[in-house]
Amino acid sequence: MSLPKPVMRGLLGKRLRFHLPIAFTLSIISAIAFKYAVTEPRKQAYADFYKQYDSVKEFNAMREAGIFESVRPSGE
Amino acid sequence: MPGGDKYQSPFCQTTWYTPSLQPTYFRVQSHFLQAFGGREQGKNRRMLATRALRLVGKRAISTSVCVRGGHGVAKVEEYTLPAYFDRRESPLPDVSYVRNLSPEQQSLKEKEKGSWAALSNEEKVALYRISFNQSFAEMNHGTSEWKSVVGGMFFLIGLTGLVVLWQRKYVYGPVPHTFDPEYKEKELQRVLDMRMNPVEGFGAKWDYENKQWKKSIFT
Repeated sequence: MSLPKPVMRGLLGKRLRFHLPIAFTLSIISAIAFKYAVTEPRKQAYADFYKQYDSVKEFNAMREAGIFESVRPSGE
Repeated sequence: MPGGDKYQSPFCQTTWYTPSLQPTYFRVQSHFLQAFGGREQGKNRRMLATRALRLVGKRAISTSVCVRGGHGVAKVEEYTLPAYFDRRESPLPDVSYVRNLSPEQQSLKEKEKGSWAALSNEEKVALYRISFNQSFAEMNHGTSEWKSVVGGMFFLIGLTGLVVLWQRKYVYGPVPHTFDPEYKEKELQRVLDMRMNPVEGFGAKWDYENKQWKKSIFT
């Protein structure tokens, strides 16, 4: 039998040296991707919404629709 | 108890009497107490040693009495002996696989006692197969069991679906009136009137100026 002797030592270290950099890189990439795909557009959407927001106009529209109980539509 | 008693041994089916003042294995403590009480101080240690020896001797006699009692030693059950197993986490089982060697295997074992370089490859494999049933490659081999598991899963889920359908038709009563289409339209109108989630959610998809859904999918 002339099989080569299998590796007996350093198995965990070898695994960690291989997997840990990959794990860290992927985590950081996914965090960056989430930031620029989700949170930044969300912040922009809120900013755009409130740039042109007239709260009184919205309130009157809601009042006319009749959803409030404290103020009824101006017709009644 | 002193005075002799009948002792039923669990290992052989005979009963035999212990002579008085000879305690059984479990009553050594009381025996030594008796020794201390009944002897002079100077002789105590020697007396204890002789008592202990006599205890062992008596026990040996009792065992051989048991064998000669006519019923023999208790039958050893197969499952109580060390067993062979193929397991990855404990690679060396307690016994070898082949217990009763054929004559060729016995001669091979004799040859094994010499120099191993003299063994051919087939002989080494034969020796391996005497000691072990499956190699690590064989025992770690995957089965196709997962196919039947997944198939069974799907089948049972389908069966459950049929049961649920039958239940919906024959067991449950009608849904509440709040599921009517007209009621749902009024609900939707109310949601839009309340301006629910106007930034990124439901209300953001409705065009309030033109009273219609926004055309673009990106709001």
